[in-house]
Amino acid sequence: MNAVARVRRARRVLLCAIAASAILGAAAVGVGVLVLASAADLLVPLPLGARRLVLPAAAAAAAASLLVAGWRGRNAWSLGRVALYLEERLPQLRFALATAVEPAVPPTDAAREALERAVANVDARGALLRPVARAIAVRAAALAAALLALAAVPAGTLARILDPRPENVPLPPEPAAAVEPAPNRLAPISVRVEPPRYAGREPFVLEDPATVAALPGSRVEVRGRGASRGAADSLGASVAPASGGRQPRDLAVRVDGDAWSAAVVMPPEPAILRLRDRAHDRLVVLEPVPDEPPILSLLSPIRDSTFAEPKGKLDIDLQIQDDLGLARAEIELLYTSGGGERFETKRMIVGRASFDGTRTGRLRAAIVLDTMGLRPGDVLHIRAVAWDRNDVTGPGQGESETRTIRIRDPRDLSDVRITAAAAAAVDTSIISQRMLIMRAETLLVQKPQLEAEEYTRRSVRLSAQQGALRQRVLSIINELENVEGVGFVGHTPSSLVLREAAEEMRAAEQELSIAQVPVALVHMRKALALLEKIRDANRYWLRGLLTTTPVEIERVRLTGRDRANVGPRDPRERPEDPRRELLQRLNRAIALLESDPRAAGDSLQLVFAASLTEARDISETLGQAIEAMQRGEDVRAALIAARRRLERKVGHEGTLSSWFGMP
Amino acid sequence: MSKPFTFATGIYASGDWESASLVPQNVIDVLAKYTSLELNPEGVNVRIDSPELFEYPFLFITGHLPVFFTPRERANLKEYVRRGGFLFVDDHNHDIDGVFHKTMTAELERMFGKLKKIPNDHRLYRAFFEFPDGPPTTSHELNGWGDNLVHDYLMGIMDGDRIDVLYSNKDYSSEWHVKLTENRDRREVDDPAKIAVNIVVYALTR
Repeated sequence: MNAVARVRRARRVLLCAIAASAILGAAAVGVGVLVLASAADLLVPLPLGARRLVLPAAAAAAAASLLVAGWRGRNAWSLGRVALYLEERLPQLRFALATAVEPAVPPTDAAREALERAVANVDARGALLRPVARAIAVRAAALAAALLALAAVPAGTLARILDPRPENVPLPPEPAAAVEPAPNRLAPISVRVEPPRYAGREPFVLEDPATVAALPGSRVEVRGRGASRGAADSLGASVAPASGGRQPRDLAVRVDGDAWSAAVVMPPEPAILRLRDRAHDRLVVLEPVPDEPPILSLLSPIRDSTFAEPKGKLDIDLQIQDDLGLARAEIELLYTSGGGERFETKRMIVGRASFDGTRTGRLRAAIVLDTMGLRPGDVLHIRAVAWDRNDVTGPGQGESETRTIRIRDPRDLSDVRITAAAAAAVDTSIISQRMLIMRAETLLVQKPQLEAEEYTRRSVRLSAQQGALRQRVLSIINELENVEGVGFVGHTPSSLVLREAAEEMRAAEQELSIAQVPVALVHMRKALALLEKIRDANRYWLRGLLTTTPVEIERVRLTGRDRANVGPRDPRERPEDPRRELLQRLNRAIALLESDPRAAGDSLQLVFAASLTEARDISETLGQAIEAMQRGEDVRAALIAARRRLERKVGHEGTLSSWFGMP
Repeated sequence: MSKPFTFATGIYASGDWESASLVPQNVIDVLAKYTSLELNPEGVNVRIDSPELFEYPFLFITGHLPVFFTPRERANLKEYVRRGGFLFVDDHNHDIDGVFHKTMTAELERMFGKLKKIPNDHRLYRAFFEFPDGPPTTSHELNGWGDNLVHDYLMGIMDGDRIDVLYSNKDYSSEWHVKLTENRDRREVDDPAKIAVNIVVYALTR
């Protein structure tokens, strides 16, 4: 075999190796993408759209890898480059091979023979073996690792990636423990949750969950495998309220080939779903996530008022929000007139709107007071009501606060002291203070990205704005304490609170002027709280205060004749504290952790279910602990944290004051 | 440390909580007249959304006008009753379907559940004086001033047999909203405020 033939053979070997390694590499990349997508889906279930993109993305990544490998191996087509590649690994050739393949000038016969001899004297076997083997082995190993990772992905998750459909309910894989004589058919399970139609949400699947959280009315279907391995009638399911009190309700278990399933509608209260298979059983907590009623905010009128005369236009501006979707809203007006024992009330709707499932809405209306025939002493109550689209447990109804608008009655002055309505400036001051706080918080967040000078400059600017706002509050105080015409000079309850607010503002102003934003924020928030307090106070003191007249007890008692029949009286029992009972149950579950982890797990699930109604503040910690326990992790620290939180609120509740005296 | 009994009137944002301002004096007066309870000679007016509410085991609420509690008022009242406070609500309107009655019962049922009729042989009517026929009739019911109806029962939010919230639309507020001298001149046999003694004694001895 002459030198050129040797190089041609080496080229064939190299091309084959490049092709093989490129294909292996592309396959590894493609499988790697599937593994990554499955892992992401396991952590946070991917939406249908994202899952549909996974296969094309894997194919595109594999194709790109193939192209890159082909481009990098393009030099293998050239005999000269192959010859040089061999020369690099066999330096004893002394460029005889390269010269034989690509001579600079046509060689003479003697020279050619000399070259052939030089090439033939070098043993080239094995020169390509190591690089070719390494290239193929690395990619094959990568592919093997990717395939192993893919094999570890739960079948249900893989099915969601490979065959993405809205309704696909991936069955869990065949239990690996099929060799056991009596395999537990309750593990693993998958749960498909179909939210009620009105919610407009897609069904979703949970694999091997300890807790299922869903809207009340959702269809919850538990599915498992192994129905054909053992008596189907030994599979059972029942549901009972977590709070106890009612007997468990048995559910029908359907068998379809090797698969079994049981379905239940998510109840409005937490419940325990108990699955049974011969000696095995398993608990799943059903956690209803309530559909919140709409939240309504009356932006206008912003507070109660007393009108001197029934004149002018009253604008009503309503903002509505709902977690799932609004149906409709109304603005209701109650108009009460009368006096003494005779009052007449009329109800009217002054604004109405329908919403096609939107989550936010706005409704505006106006009342012209002049045309309503209002008289002194009349009262208007304005409030709004909104309904959501919940047709399962609802509709949820939300109500706004009620604003009370009174028409001043001069006769009231005879026995009830009327104080002037609060200056509107207090409301605008609240808004401004809130804005300033938001700006200061934003500045604090942006601090790492800002130069020190810029940060200081902005803080000083906020200080100036805080100072301007303080001046406005001081002017309100001045108005309150020096009422013109009446001649009143002195503190009022409102002005005293405003003085405190102004003092906090002054402290905030000083801190901002030296760029101490975190310290300033403390004072700014205190100032806001005080402004809120004064606004709230005005709701009540707008109509003045009643004076109380003491009774001359001793004088009255002299005429007393205690001859009455005293009935039997039983002291009232203090109501049971549900948190205390929960604490005891949690302690018992913790004590079982070492000796019987399975029983401890079941107990914890029951405590978790009860906490959903009795102690929401520990539910999240308990839920996480149960999941960690299923993963075989140590949960003692989490449980102790939950216990401490429970203990903090047990036994520290205030009670009503005691009273003295028996008749 | 124990405190003397204080008659507390609830202040709420809507309506006219102050419509029967003479009731506290009259109730304190009859309690002094017929019982040996340790008494605060002066009633207090307390905002029902304030923590001060929990200082008083007995709370009286009245009014003529529609009532819509604020969320904070609702939460506070609910907690007050849960902790064992006794709430007595009287419809100053004396209407069977008046606005105070409709809005207040709606608010109470929203907070505490269904109002029930209190049987006329309940311990409330034997807690001090004997009222064998249930709640005594008021002069307003008999003189045709209001809707000319006699309400022959009181209502309540019950915990078993125990009353947590007492609701009346007999208009005791009008009956007891009189000048003290007028009430003091009454003889025991026709004293319309005697039922107040039973209500307070029952509230404090449940």
